[in-house]
Amino acid sequence: MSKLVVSQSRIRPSRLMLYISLTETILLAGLFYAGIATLFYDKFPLNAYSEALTLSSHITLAMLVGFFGAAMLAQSVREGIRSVYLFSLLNLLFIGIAAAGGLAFYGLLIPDYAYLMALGFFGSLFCTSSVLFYAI
Amino acid sequence: MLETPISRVIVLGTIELIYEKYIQISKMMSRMNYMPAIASGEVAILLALYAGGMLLAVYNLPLQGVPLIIHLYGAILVAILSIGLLASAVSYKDKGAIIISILNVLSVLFAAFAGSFYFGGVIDVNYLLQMGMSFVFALITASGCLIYSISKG
Repeated sequence: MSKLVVSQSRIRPSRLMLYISLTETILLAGLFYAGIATLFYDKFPLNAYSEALTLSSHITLAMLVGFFGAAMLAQSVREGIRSVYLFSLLNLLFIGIAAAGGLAFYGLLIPDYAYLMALGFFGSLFCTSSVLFYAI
Repeated sequence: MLETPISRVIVLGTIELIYEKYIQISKMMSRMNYMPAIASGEVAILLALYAGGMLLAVYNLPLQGVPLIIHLYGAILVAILSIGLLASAVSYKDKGAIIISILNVLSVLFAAFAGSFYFGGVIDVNYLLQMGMSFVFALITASGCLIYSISKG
């Protein structure tokens, strides 16, 4: 029994999974930087060029994060490791919550949705870095 | 004919199942000198710290009251737990765990310094950006310690 557990814990995700999750972690860090800069330096509605640039970089990085989250889920389905699959699924769920919160905040300008976006970011970063260190 | 009643059998079986799960989880949590337990505690406290800090930032509250207390006390507890992670990694003598936990201690220290500069009176928003980025790095390394020690311990 214990031998089986040891041999199961040595199954590693592939090199592609490592690169996808590393890219996703770096993108999430940049996304957080752009989001905090938007929070501190921008006043809605936007008037200046620099304010629009900050918000646009936040939205662009968010779209890239969603894309790489979907890629991570697809690769984990292909590899069939259960914990990585669960982490990727939770990651995409948190990204969905954060994206929905962000879009609702952009439309309605109610800070509750911005808080929801922040909490979704936490879960997404935890799941992504868990997959990254599982793949190392 | 069964001598013990069926409800008692079900209750005893449930208790045994819970006990088995408890043994499994405590074995998993005590792998590299209890590194997974410390790291999961640190991630949970980081969540509380982040929730308190974001409450201050998003709703533009003044620097006082319950959210600030959550943020400061969470920061102190995270600092203590990150040094505990480094201690158990050093006493287990695993090179990767030592590197990850040293990065964790450094990022927590940097976040604490940036936050103290802002809170101590230097009102400059760039310090808050530094605090946020080192929080991101601290969360990455803390969950890295958790997963690394579970999968390699």
